[in-house]
Amino acid sequence: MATSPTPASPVAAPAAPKRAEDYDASSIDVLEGIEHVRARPAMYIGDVYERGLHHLVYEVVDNSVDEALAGFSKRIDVTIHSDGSLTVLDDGRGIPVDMHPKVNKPTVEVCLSMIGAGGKFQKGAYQVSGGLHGVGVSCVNALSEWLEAEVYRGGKSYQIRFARGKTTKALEETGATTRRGTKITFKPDAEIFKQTQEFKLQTLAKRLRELAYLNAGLHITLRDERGEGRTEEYLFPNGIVDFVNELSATENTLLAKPIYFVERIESAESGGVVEVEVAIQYNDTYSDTVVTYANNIATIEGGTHLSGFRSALTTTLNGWLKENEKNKKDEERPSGDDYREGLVSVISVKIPQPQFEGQTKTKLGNSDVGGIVQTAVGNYLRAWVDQNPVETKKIIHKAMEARRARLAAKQAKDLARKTKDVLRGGGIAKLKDAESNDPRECELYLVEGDSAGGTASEARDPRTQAILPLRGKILNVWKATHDKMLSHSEIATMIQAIGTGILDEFDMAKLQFHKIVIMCDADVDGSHIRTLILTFFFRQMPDLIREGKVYVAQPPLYKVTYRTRRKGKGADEPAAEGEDEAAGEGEDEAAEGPATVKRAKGGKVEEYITNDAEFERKMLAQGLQGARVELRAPGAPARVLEGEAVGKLVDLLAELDRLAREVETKGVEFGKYLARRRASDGLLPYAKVFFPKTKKAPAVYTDADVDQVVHEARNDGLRVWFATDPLSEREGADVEVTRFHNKDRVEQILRDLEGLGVSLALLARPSRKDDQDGQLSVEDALIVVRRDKEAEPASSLRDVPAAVRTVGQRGIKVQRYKGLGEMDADELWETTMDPSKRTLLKVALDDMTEANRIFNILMGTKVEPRRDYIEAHSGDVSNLDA
Amino acid sequence: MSERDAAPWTCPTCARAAPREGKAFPFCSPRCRLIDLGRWAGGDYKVSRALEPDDLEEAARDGLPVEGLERFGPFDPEP
Repeated sequence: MATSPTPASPVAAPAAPKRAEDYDASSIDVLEGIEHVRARPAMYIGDVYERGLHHLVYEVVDNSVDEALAGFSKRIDVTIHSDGSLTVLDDGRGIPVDMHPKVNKPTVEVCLSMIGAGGKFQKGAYQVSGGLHGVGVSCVNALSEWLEAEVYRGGKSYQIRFARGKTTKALEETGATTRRGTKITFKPDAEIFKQTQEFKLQTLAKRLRELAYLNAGLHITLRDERGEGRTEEYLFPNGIVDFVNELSATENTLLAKPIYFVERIESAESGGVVEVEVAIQYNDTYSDTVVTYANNIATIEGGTHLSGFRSALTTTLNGWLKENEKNKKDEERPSGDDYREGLVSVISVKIPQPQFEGQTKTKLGNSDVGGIVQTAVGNYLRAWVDQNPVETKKIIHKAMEARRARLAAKQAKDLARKTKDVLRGGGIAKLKDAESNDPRECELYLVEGDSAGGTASEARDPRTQAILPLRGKILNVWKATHDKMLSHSEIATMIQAIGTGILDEFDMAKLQFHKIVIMCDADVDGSHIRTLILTFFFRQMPDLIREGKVYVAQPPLYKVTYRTRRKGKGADEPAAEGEDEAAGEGEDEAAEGPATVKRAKGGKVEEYITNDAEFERKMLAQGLQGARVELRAPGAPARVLEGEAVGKLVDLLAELDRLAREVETKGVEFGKYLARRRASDGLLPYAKVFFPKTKKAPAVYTDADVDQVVHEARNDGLRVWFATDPLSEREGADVEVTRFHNKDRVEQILRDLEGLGVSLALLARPSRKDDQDGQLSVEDALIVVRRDKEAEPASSLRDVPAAVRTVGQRGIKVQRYKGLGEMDADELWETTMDPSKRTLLKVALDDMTEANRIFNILMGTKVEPRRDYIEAHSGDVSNLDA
Repeated sequence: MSERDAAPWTCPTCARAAPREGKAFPFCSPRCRLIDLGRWAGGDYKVSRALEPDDLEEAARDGLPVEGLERFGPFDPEP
């Protein structure tokens, strides 16, 4: 706060204070009417209940605050006594004790006992004065069982006592004193306050705290002598800046420190100098907290000062936007409401002649103050935005966000209204509805594309299955983009068909289909559309997913056709064993029905396979039936593996391939890794230890080796980076240590391969140059996989599983579906929609958090991972599945 | 999986924490849910990739909407 502008300090820097001697009897007018106050107390203090009771305190305190505003007082002590009375003590000038010229009584007596008397009724005594209605302390006196005033003035102390407004003990001098100020003690009259005469600490604390905020440097003490006793102190050197900080203490603020200024502007209409004091902060919430005051009174209903402030804020910030971001159209600029999101502000004006309006008299009515505040805020804020472009941008950015949110909310509300109470029977556009009215047996298929939608409509069981085609794609030839999205009308139709309504209207009991099945092409586009639809459900209808109503269809990716040779034996039919295994592994717990669909047709068997992994497994299993692997290691006799050995070899190689990829992600070529295998004991490197500056990479085979290298490096004053330690910094490290976690397993696989009589030399991959020499021939190849009459060469052991698949695939007709559209209605029914045969994956909420993450990547919130993702997953549809 | 479950969920709209047991889950508040629905309704959620020749054939076959064609004149998939 030290760097904030100095807040207005009425205590330290009075606005042209009069000399103390000027405040005397001549400035007091005398009016009468204590009896009137007691007869109609509500007219003066609002009511005779809790609010009116506390009002008495405020009236007395306001007199002291006036002294502070005028610059004569710095302290106000308020004490609640156990007998129900209350004392207000200030260190001001003290109420004058000289004789009032008109009524021939001491001024203090006039002030306290004659209604309407008091400095504030004449402009002369105070420039600006608080007091809710300016009724003055004489009203308090009139409504008190007793009141005692002590005045410390001119080195002497005086005392006077009243009962119900009437003097019971005339003013008398009670001695010498070094103090200055006024002390007023009073006890509310139970005849007036019949309901309660008990002061509430919290109520007083709130108001006194507020007064301390509004009058920077004013030190207020609140003591409660009742019960256990309690003392609170309020002193805010930075006034309303401290107030704004307090209001946004629990939130993240946008500005390093609040914007603050105070300005005084002359106004004939308001009877003198108007003081405008404003503090502004922004936080990251969506609500606004703007508190306004006029003459220390909370203007809860707002008024002209608030409108002037709002108008200046919007005009100034949009003016800056207009100058600095010229490409923004007028209608794209934030509105006043947008600038109010997250706004925290305190506006305090001090006016010689305030006009309060409204139901509770808490709305400022002075029409000129609107313009004054607008000018003052506009002037200061224009200078501020010019000097603080970074923070200005933050505010504008926040308001633009608010604007987007406001427009989105409007669109959402329109959509919710449009989709409300549309009934299934009412003909929902594009929905091919089911005949049954029982939602429990009805299924809604959301189908990618009109053409597939048409096929699905033909294929379906019209009694229970409804079809809703979603285009999901738009081509933009001009921008040369292919966009996947759900259009406004598609979203609306989907919500209408599902029947639950949306947002607060959402009602699971109205669900029209107890299975909602997403059916998309088994390609990347299809997976993107599926992700869009799933994300929509997850975000807007999470109960559908929680209650297990959403499913993903599994249309086939491959159709394989093969001939049945002989009845009963079926030698050419894919291996029954392998098939079961594949189906078992590939199945999701939530899946229903078999993983593949088979059908026999005129001596041929057709089989549908839903994903690449399963296809590969199937072809591999097929190839393993009767495959032989010939290994011709250089300078060694040829070795032939058959039967179980081939299966074992393929398993080992498949696992080795996976582990090889892990090694390669650490930036080490697998061939080179293997080349470092220690001949003596077959151990592989334990870690990659690399000295980036010298490019050295010593071989380490054990934990101890690593420790030694690290130890030595540290002794040499080098800094070591461990890939496994998220806290260590790679940048600038002298030694990089990357562990190979699967070294033991790789070593075991190599031993197992040797156990099969396989030369590990065959694991090496030929260099790229050799590859370009053209097709590898069966005659030249070091490795050949044979099955029946088929032969497939391989250049490295690592290619053996693929070669086994290739020989397995020979003689089988493989058709890869690009999309649902390539299937006819029969095929689609049998493979994907027939409840007795199809596979449906049930979507669970846990899957959705992952889908949501993928969605975020696809939405391009971060550009880099998006490309990585697409590269890694193109064609790998199953990963996007729930 | 357990690691991800333990991590606090963040609201898709404002990226603030959104309790899993919250009424507006996966959002932090009904307001953020409303904004998200508005974005769906406004077609803000879009996955784009470069146009490929096959796409135009598919568009002709499936009657997919094609934007920007007016700049090129009538579309004929088979030249």
